[in-house]
Order: sequence, then C-alpha cells, then structure tokens
Amino acid sequence: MWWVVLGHLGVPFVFGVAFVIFATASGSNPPTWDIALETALDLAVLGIGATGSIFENDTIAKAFGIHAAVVGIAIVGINFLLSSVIVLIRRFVYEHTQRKLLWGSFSISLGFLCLLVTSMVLAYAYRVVP
Amino acid sequence: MQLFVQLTLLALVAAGIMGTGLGFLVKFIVEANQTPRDRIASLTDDASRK
Repeated sequence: MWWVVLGHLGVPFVFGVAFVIFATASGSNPPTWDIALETALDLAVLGIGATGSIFENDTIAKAFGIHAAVVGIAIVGINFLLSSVIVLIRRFVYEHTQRKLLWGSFSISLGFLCLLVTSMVLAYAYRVVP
Repeated sequence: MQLFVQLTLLALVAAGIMGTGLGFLVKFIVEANQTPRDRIASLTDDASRK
C-alpha cells in the first residue's frame, strides 16, 4: 500500500517541487506566476516521456497483451490533450485573470494528471495481473 | 470497470490536491520576491476592483 502511495503520488510530487525550484532558479527576472504554467508543462512533458518507458514493463505486456501499443498511444493522446488545455489557459486566460492562484493550481493539477494517467495504467496492470 | 473508475477518481483527487499544494508554493515564492512597490500596486489593484 505505502509503496503504491510513494510510487504514484510521492514521486510525482517530488518532481513537481523540483520543477518549481528549477523554474524559479533558471529565470533572470524576479519570479512571476508564469512559474506555475512552466511547471505544469514540465510535468506534462514528463508524463508523455514516462509513458514510453512503462510499456517496456512485463506486467503491462501481460495485462494488455496485443493491445498494449494501442493503450500506449491512447495515453500519449490523452496527455497531449491535457497539455493543450494548459497551453490554452496560458494563451487566453492567464494573462487577463486576477485569480492567478486558482488558474495556476488548476494548470499544475492538469500537469499532474498527465503523470497520474500514466501511473494509472501501471496501477491497473498490477491489480489485474495476479 | 469498477477498478478503472476508482483509479480515475483517485487520480483526479490526487492531482487536485498536489496541484493546489504546488500552487501555494508558487504563491509563496512570487510574494516573497515582490518589491514593496509591487505590493502597493497589487493592493491598489484589489481596492480599485472593490
């Protein structure tokens, strides 16, 4: 149980904190709310990258059989869809809104969702395969 | 199917909680780096909206 919590929730959170620190430290200007969107996009990219690696896993291959490739492509598609929503928020909402905390948190949540969708496939496979 | 729904709900809740947590971390960083002039500007903004 605790390994699952660490693997699927703890590790992504550590990545998120690391991305916030990277985004804060790498800019030459004082930190602005753009850090939230940069972090969200970094998490989304990480989710897309992680999807490729988990489909090398034997348990995933057993759980989905010949359909593993379709599931992999579908997960990447979902991740791109979530990323596009983050970019949409950056383009049309974030500049003009006064509710930076709300939209920043929502964007980061979408970024986390990209990672968690990938984790979900792993969790599903480990539950289904005895 | 039930497992899929459970995992989806868990992912949504977890993403929301972690996103809010990091949102507050970003808020803390941004506010800690504001100059007094920025702070006065944001207060004036708030007051003019009210």
